Amino acid sequence: MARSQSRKNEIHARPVCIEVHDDVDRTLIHQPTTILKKGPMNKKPPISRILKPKPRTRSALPSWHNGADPEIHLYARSLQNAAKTLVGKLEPQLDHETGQSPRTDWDACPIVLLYREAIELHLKALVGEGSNFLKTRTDPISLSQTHSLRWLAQIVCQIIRRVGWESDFTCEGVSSLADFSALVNEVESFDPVTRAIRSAGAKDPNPARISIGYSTSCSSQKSCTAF
Amino acid sequence: MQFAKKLHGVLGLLDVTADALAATWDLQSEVSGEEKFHATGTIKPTIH
Repeated sequence: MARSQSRKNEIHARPVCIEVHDDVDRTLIHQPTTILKKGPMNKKPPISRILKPKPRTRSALPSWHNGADPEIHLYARSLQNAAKTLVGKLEPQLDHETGQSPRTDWDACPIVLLYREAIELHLKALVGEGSNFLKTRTDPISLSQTHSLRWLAQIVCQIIRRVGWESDFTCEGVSSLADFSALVNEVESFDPVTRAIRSAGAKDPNPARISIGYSTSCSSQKSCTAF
Repeated sequence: MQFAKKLHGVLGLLDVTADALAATWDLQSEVSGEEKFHATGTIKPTIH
């Protein structure tokens, strides 16, 4: 019933008024045409040209992202936005009766995961663009397959030193390349769950049978107290 | 919260730096291409 109703909404038959000449077969006139009703699903949302990222790499050399640079950029930004939203939700919410926060330390783990993924993609993007400046270009296959933030951060530092931007490569909380490396290493140390899943997934091709073997007493506690 | 702010800052920094590297590389490529073009000297000006 619902299906037929939706079909009624989609299809409309209406006559088409066509100016014809005498040599045209008149049976072709007034044929119903099928048009799709313009619903909210068919209408494409307007995309701002300013916000739409452009592909950075124009080189003919093989790249780690295989031409999906804009999509990866958008994905990384979405991860970052999601992490920011979750951080806002985790702000202290005291229970009126007990006077204690209802959240647990584990609530911060998805935030760590989102930030980690976003940082990994951003590091890869920077290495992909900047490895042109190095004497030996980073292997695109290794770059696409690695999940090591430490390794990526090391290459980023090499690139920044190579182009001489050490003094400009600063932001809030990061005043040097050493600070940057330390921060990235800290993020990587926060993330035992992802590493456990990935290492298990590499051994077992069936993701349904992956067991997460990690110690709850390790840095997961550390990650939660950081936020 | 402070750590999250730091990470936001780093993500922005990485993004801007990647853009700057791409632009620098493009600029260098264009300059070197023009230099090569002018350096060849095999193409003579058209005389009308």
